[in-house]
Amino acid sequence: MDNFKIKVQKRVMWATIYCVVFLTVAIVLMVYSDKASYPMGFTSGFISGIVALAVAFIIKYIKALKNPEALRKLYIEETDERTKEIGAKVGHTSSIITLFVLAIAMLVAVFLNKTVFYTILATVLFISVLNATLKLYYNKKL
Amino acid sequence: MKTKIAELRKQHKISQEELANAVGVTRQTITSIEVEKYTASLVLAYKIAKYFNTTIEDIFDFSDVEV
Repeated sequence: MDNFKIKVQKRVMWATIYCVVFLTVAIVLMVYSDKASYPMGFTSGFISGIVALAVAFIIKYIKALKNPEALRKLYIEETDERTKEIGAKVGHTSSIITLFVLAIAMLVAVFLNKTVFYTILATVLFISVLNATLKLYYNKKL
Repeated sequence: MKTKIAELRKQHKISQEELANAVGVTRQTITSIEVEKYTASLVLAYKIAKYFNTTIEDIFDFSDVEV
């Protein structure tokens, strides 16, 4: 449990760093760019989301660090073998479905818009290469 | 896989939550094992057997496992 406590403390530290970095980026963007533009609006929303998520994690982890019972509960939640298996199955299934849907979208896009077609093609290639690389990595690792 | 976990729990008068906490898994995992939806790993099977002070074979029914 001590190792897990250190791990959680490190997560709090990293989440705090993320908050500081993203908030700095947000402030710099607000000062130096066109506040009303669409990209600026999207970036602000994206950064707000990341910061909110990081703050939520910080609160959750600090609560767990203060209470040994909550820390053990968090440890069980994170190391539960069934939850891990569900995660692996979800990842595998969703990557297959994503590739299938993208392949169909690519076949439609080739008739409609070349830019969209090449974007989807690049995405499909990237996911395929990533899948193959990860398979090779875990085949060697496990 | 059939197990005697529910039976043993009743004998020892402990809840799924208590067993789950003792062996370091969630209550849902114990439920899934009891209703034969999920098969425990070797490590978890060992922890459960040790908790009830018995052997893995006494708790888990391996008769359906083909070798």
